[in-house]
Amino acid sequence: MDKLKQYIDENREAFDELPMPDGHQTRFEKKLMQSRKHTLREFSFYGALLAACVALFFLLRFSLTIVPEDEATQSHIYAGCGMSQEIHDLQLYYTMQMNELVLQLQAYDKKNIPGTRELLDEMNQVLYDNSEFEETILPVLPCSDAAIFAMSRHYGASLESLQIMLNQLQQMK
Amino acid sequence: MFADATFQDLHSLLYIEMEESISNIVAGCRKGKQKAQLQLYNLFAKRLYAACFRIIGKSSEAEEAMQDTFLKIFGRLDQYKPGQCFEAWMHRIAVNTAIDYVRRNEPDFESLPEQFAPVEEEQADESEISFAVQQVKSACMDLPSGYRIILSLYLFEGYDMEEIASILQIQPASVRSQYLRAKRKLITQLATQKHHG
Repeated sequence: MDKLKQYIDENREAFDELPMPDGHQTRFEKKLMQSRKHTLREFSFYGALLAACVALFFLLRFSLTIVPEDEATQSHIYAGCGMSQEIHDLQLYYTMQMNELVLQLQAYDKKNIPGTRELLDEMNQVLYDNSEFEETILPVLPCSDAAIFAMSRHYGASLESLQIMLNQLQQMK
Repeated sequence: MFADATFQDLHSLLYIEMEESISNIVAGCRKGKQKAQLQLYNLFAKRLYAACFRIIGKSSEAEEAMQDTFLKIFGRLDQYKPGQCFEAWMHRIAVNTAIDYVRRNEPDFESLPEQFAPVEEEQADESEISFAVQQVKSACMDLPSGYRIILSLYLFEGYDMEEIASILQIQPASVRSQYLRAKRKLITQLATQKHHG
């Protein structure tokens, strides 16, 4: 018979009585917040990377496959492209959707919720990536459905990132 | 008789309610809700801290291991299968995390050699010692890590020899001899404490 085990089983409650270190919960909340931010950062990074890859893929694909027989046939979206209206509408649609989320996110700036600042920094990074996309990639996209697809993927990823940030802030309330 | 039945019914009802509330909390954690994550922490932190502390033996490191355990739990909820005992699942993660912690933070740590010659149980020595909770606790903390881990797993965490073998990745046959050796060391320490006390 294991006398030691028997003794421990009989006095289980006394053995389990271990005081938790002071402030453990606050430290855990901090740790949890950091881990969430890390996950979010990873997500926005991979989202932005995916969008950039898609855009780059289309850029390379069309710049390599289109042989410029005539300069006039090489129409880009800002150079008298027949799809420019459609592209403009799409851009407007996504911009409106994103602005709505940005306004909601910015409303949290004054609420002093821990972690808000970092999330808003991430939001600004997404907006910066968008402006980079619009200035460098968008003007050289081909005048075709491929441009619509590349734009949808890019803006879709940005929109999803902003939505996740908003969800995070709503949960932090 | 009636009172017994009522008590048992009440106990079952409370148990079912508790299980349901844990399921709800787990569902919230799966959705990444911070409120649910903190609820789960508040519910189980004490128990998981105790398990980590008994293995690691240091309060601040045990807290860190326990909190890392929760972060692992939140990240691995997709691996938890409904029907499995949730507490046992969490407990196993805590134990593995604490053991990893000892291995990582104690460069000198070595688990006990696998091939020990069988050790005879020393009933005579054990029966001469009258135990006291505080003395057993403090003697366990003074043991080398290898001894402390195997005693904690068997005496406190409720694992059998097979389960301990799987956790420590050693042969089940050597778990028993290692346990007996660790227990003998503990009893020697208790006897010394008694002698000096």
